[in-house]
Amino acid sequence: MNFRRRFLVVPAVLLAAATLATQQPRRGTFPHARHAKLFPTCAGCHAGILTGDSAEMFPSPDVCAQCHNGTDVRRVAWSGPVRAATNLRFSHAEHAATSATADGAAVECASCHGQQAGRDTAWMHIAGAQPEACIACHQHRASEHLAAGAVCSTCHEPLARATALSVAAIAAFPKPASHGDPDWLARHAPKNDAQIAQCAICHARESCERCHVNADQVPAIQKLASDARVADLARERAPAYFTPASHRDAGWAYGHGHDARAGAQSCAVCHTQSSCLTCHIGSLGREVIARLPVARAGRPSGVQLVDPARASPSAGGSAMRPFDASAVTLLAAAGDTVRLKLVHMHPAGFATNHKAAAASGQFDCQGCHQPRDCTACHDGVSTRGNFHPGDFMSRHATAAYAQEQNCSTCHRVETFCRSCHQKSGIATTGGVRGPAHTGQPLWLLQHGQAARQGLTSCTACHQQRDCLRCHSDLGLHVNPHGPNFNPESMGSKDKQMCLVCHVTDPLKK
Amino acid sequence: MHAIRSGITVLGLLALAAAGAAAQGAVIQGSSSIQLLDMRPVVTDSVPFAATDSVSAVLRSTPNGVVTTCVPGDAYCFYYRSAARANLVALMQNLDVTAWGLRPGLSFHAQLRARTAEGDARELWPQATQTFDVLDAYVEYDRSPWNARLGRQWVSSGLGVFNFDGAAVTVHPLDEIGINLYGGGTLVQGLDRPLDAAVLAPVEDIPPVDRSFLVGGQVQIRPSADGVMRFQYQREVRSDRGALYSERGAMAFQYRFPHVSLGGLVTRDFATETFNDVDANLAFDPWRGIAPRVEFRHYVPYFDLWTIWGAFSPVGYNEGTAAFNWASADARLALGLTGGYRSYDNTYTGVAWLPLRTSGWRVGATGALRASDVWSVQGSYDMDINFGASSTDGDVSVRWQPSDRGSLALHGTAFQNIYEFTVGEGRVVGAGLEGAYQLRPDLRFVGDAMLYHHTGKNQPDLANWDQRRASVRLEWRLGGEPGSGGGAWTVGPVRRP
Repeated sequence: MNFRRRFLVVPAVLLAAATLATQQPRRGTFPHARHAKLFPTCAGCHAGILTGDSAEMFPSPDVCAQCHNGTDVRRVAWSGPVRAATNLRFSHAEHAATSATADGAAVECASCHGQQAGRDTAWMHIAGAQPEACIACHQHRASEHLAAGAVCSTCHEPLARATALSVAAIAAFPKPASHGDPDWLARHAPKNDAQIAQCAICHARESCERCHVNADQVPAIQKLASDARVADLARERAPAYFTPASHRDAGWAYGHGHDARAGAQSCAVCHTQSSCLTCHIGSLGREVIARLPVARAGRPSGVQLVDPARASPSAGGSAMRPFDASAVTLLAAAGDTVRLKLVHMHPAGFATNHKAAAASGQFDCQGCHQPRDCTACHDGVSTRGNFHPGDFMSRHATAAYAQEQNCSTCHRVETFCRSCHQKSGIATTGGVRGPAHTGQPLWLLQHGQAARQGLTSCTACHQQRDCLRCHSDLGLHVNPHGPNFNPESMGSKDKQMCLVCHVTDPLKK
Repeated sequence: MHAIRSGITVLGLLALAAAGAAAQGAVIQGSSSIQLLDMRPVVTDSVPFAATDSVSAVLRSTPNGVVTTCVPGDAYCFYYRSAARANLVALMQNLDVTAWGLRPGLSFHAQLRARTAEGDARELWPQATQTFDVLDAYVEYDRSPWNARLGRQWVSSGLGVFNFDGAAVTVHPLDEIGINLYGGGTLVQGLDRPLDAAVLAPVEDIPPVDRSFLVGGQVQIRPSADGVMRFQYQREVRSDRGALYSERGAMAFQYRFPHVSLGGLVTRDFATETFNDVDANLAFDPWRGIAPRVEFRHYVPYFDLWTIWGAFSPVGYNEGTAAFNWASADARLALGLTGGYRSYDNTYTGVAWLPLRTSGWRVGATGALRASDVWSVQGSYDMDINFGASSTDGDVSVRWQPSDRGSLALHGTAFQNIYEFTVGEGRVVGAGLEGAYQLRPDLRFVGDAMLYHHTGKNQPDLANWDQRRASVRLEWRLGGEPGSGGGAWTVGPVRRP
């Protein structure tokens, strides 16, 4: 009985060894099944599997030539495969000595190497051993290979010790399902040494340094061994970043400094100072920014922020209405790993409704904006040409009458509007014979209402004397003052303004 | 006198430039642009009364159908027509200089602009004859809790954004309180020249009698991280102190409640006892991608006291607007809707049987689609029916952006203007290209070219505004150290919503 057990163990172990090697293509080239009637035991060909003698792990070509001699059977040029490099912590000899089935019998080779995970027990119908075969015996909390709760070190050595593995083999490591979870990147940091050891099975320090800009300051990363093979792989792969849930909140950009001050080390995982300095050109947040790593050659770049104006001269194009860039913010979807992300700090429409925010000092505008960002528009002669829609010269009349944007915020009526109207021939002065107002042939009766409702537009063409011809004591004495006019209040500020109409000759230059 | 002033300015700039050169670091940013415009200005023409045709009981037109202005008894009627095609080439060079490191907290800032225009329509270009501007040039000392500036500088406030020649001091006696005082010589907005008769005489027949200087102050209070308010008072005094050109005040605030923020701005003209701006807005946090914003606005135009316009009692309007912006979860699609209605105050003028419009409304829609990582499409449509003029506009843009370094966009536009006070309805269609490419981190090229075709509805000979426009711009930077923004003028912490 004892002999029988041993007999069973030996071929089982041998088959397991043979099947393990099927991960290499050449191992499968030997048609075991076709030789089933020739070999009664596994050890006949694979004696070295049990002893660890590599010379006897596979039969020599001479053994094949005993039959494949060209006379009895055609010759073959087969030789035993080179044992594949692996990071498995597995010893056939050890398993042969210690493994046993539930009833005490030794494990057969076919238990691991039989096809269909051992269910096909036909003699020499073999296949590579599957990790599930290991899990089937080892008391292990993982339900399957690569499961989230797997303790990889049960069967695998840390990558740094698996020195025989090639770069290609490392690159071909299977990816656990957990790593594909959308939130994986957000919670992948190991919390203790056991988890660090788990990471070390497949990863080296360079794995983390590919993305972590502060890798040299993270103890968990420093506990991982360095590995030149992983470094090679990391060099070929771009860093991948995700958008944390907090960053997707409405208004995140507005108040992110509050969080940055509280935990700059969190920012430093993905951001170098250059991330911040894309926008922060002023003194705002400098002390916090200084706590982040500096971008350097040989380090990951970190999340790259791009001022959208660099690539697109205007959010909506120079021919578009001021279509705020926020409306087309290219946010990353949940779980995305993004290399390029457009960040817009302000809500939709901010380009045209930022007056209260700027005037109240809600934000330190100079933290991110240079004076020229303001003067580019507010100096009245835009150098960017992207605030107004295309051909605003032809279509500005409606906006000018409505004053939706209060033109005087950027333009002085006399020197900008009237000057242009005069030069382009629109504005005429000196009387009632101008060709404007043809739509109102009885304009004289209507112009009072028009003037009170849109006086700014009137002054875009008319000079003061145009009106004083009638509206002055030295003209036709037509009173221009409204019912709520307070002459004392106005006169107390500038009496000379009153004198223009009431004393001096307004028509005299 | 002007030559002396120019000489002093140049010497001052040279001294400042020398100081900048001796500084520890400097950043010079430049923008060099060339813009081309080809169009037909309009001129006033006349036609003998006898040659005009009667359009209605009160309107007459030229034989070609252009409505004219005819004064009873005059032998001629007047109308607009297009002049010969003219063009111009405008060159502009902007320089933005920042230097620091002379001693801790001390820095120098300047924005300079040189321009010229050539061509038979060169006068059309804004300030084409003003070849050199100093938008600002100031020395700043910024050491908490103090900040001081000396030189030509800007004030950004509830009363507007303007520059002046003088000094400003800001101090934060407490983290929650900031006080800012400023004063100096007034400059003409957009011209960067002192406010005097010589500057305004070409366009103003009663220019100000004397220069002026302004003094003002602001107090900012941030009672909590959720709210902030700022008060401002400013008066503009004639140089001989004989009169005020303006006396105004402003108050602006922002407060953040859960899920909504409230903001507002009030400006007051003490001379006319008028509230020029009363704004209040509510912005709600996005709900299922929808971000609503509503705003109330009361607006009355403001005029300096050196003009008579304020005495003409201009009236304002009350306006309510609402905007809804929606973005899909993956932000590939964004849509926006806006709408507003305004009603003018009573003018106490006119005749009942010839009323003009006393209200206006507007609606607009925007949309943006990121079709792929490279292609995006944007479009907008607006309709604005208003006193004075009305218009409808449609714009569309297709952008190809293969990388963050550059993009190319095709634009199309169509709009029509309805001029209420002038018989005429202009229709314009336009199309063109626009692109940008960042050659290096400190060098970017931008260009665009557009064509616009104008037609006058029912009046083929109405003034023709066909245009050809093109521009190229090179933006560059020397020096890499950021920090050109200058000192902070805000108080307290801002809490994330």
